[in-house]
Amino acid sequence: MRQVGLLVMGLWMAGIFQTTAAQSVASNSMLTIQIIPVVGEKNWSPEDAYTNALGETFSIDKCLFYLSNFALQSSSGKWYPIRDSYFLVNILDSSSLQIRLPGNITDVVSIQFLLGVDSAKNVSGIQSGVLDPARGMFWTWNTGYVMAKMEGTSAVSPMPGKKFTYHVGGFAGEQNVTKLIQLAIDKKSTEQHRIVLQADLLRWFNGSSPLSIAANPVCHVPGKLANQIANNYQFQFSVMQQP
Amino acid sequence: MKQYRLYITVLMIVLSGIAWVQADNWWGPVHPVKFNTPKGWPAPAYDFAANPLTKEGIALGKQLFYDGILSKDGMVSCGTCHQSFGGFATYDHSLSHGIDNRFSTRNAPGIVNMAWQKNFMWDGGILHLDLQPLAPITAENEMGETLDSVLHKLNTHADYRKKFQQAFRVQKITTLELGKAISQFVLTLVSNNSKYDRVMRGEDTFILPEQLGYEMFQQKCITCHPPPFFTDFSFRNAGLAEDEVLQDKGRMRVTGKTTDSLKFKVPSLRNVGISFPYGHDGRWATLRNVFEHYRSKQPRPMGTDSLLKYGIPLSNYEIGQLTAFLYTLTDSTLITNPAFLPEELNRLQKQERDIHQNKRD
Repeated sequence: MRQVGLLVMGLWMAGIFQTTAAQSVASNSMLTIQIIPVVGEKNWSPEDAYTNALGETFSIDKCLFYLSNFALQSSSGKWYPIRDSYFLVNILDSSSLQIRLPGNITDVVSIQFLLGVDSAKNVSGIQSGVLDPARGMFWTWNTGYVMAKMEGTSAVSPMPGKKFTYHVGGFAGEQNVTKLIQLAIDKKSTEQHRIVLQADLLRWFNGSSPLSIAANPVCHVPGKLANQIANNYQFQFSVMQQP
Repeated sequence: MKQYRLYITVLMIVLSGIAWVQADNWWGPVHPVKFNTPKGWPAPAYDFAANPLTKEGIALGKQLFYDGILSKDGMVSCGTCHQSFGGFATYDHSLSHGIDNRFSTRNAPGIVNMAWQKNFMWDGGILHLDLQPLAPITAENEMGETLDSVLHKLNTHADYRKKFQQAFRVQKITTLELGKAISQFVLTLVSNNSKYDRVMRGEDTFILPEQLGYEMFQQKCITCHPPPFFTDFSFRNAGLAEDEVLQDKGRMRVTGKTTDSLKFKVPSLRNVGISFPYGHDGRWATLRNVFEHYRSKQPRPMGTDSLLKYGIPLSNYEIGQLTAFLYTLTDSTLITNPAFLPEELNRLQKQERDIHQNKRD
């Protein structure tokens, strides 16, 4: 009789172990995207000063942005969207710099994602997880996500504390600042299930329409300035070739 | 002895199984509440499937609505500016009051029939009812809080934790449940039982001035203030000069379009008799002031709505009749319903009755 009891207990425990094992198998086939924040040639550091194309010197204290709606393209050319893929990248939080996607596709040739949060998630009430308005990336007075945010200091800024604050948002019509990013992936990265993505924060300032900290130290509303910054920073990503 | 052990083992397994299956019901059952759309009204805009009303959710929402815990100094609640006796607008205050003796920049509107509204605030900047409370909670001149701090206060509050668990089955309260809970209560604030409504249902009759005012209303006001909500929810420039201090551009703040400058949402006229002062910044103390603005023949500022360009011709007599009609939009059952009033007020009213009966506690 005792053996029967143990057997039942054993089966019950085995069930629990099996569930755990199944989860660990799934996590092995993950695709990791490692994001490295850089400014021009150098790795980003809050202590360092940088110079933009207009010759203004500045440093960056804070930078966050949403990446969402990931899709992977296989060598056959077919795109595989990844459901509910929303990530908030924060250069101060190293865990957020590692994005893990379910990677059932072994022959990824390119990836695609939205820099920002799609309009559907902006208009359908309160979201949770990284999209929780309590994350501080949401405008409560004018519904919508701050898609990307950069704050820092510059001697040329006329604001208190020499600060500049760029909160870039807007999802509707002409105010839409979300950008669809597509990047080709090298073979080595695909094989290693690991993509290293450089995010060059200097691109926020330099681009077709250079951003002057002295002239525009603050962006807190959707509109022309937000669009200008987004048009610049959409080119911040590049895939680092694996040696 | 061996058999006894087996029974214990089997019993434990069965119990843990039951616990697993029943985990959801540990905190007691929830009681669904059906939302009733008044006869002849359109379907609500609010998605009730995403936030099904329950007795527990509504009660929790009401407790939050009247609790200063949502503000930085503990003094300001939603009910501070949305007062039952003012038709859930601010009673007798032009600009709503925030923490630290501060004013907001606008007159708090009556928040009834919110289930049918698609965007919120005078400028329509907020696109979902659940998101609406986050704006006053985090505005530094209103409740002055941060969401993190409010959620921390709620998550370390035993009573709220228990009630959120009951209503939403969550261990940890997040912004999502906070918004849903407040919406549950606000959605129940349906105003459809004024004298006007009773007359329309054939349960009552207008007296002569009300009847005459009703007929004038249909000729002169109904384009922007159509029933049953007495607003068409559009944004219009009513020709009010911009306040130099507030510099409130209204709808333009949201759309960024200069053509939307000084446009504000057409306010509902339900409970208008008790929700004075009037206008987005509460600049008009009385209905008489409002009528004077609309009948004025003075040139209107650029951008004024074409319907108001030359003013609305109104005689003193007509203003009298229209006022009589507008007073029929006061919903006395809404503003006295204990389900909507703060619990302290309900308790006080009970105590008052005891005094009249000459009873001692």
